[in-house]
Amino acid sequence: MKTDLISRWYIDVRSAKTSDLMSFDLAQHLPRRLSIGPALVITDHPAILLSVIRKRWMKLLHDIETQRSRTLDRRKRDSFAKEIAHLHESRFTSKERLAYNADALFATAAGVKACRAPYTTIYLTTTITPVELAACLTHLRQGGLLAVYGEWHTAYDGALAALG
Amino acid sequence: MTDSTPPPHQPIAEAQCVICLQTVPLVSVTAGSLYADGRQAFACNGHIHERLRWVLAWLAFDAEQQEQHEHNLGSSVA
Ligand SMILES: [Zn+2]
Repeated sequence: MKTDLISRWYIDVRSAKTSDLMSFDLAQHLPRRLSIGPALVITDHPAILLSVIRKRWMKLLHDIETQRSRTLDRRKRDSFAKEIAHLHESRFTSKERLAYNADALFATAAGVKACRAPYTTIYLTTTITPVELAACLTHLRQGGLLAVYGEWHTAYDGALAALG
Repeated sequence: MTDSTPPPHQPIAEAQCVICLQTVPLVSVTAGSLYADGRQAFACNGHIHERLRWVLAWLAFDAEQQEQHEHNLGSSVA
């Protein structure tokens, strides 16, 4: 991870060799980031990725419920209960018309116009153009995180410089 | 704590992992939730593959920060 040149955002280039590994990483990462603000997930196939993440989300929910049932420690039980509520209450959508009510919007790069800005986290799961990246970054809160799956394209540096 | 806006941050070269507590180069960590004072918290990328440890450690961290936040609020009222 690094910061952009003038330290407005954190930039995290995350390796994920397969789509399965990428969705695993995203499903692990997303709950903590959603606990501090909404997220935008840029993907070529919003409905498909949303469905995959939702399945992983339900598995995570089940695992935390199991952990909660196994502990007698009241503080841990409270913490698990809080997380279970958080996971239940998180609203995902791939429909732009519902973006304003969603905690996580799954959209194509072209679909970020109707969004609930500012986002605390933007995940790029596909290669986009520098112009599209610049448009996305206008929706990223200062101190927020841009997580990029795959490689950081040198053309992206131009988009960051143009915003500076 | 959950609605805190992260403050503008200074360039940093390393960060402490909230899971193993080691101080590691920024390139080795990812950003998770926040400290009670609004600072960004980090964890080593490698821990994300330890599926349940990752989840439980962050929950413990968040609970601790929530307590700290409530303590700070109590102190400021008193
Ligand atoms: Zn660590």
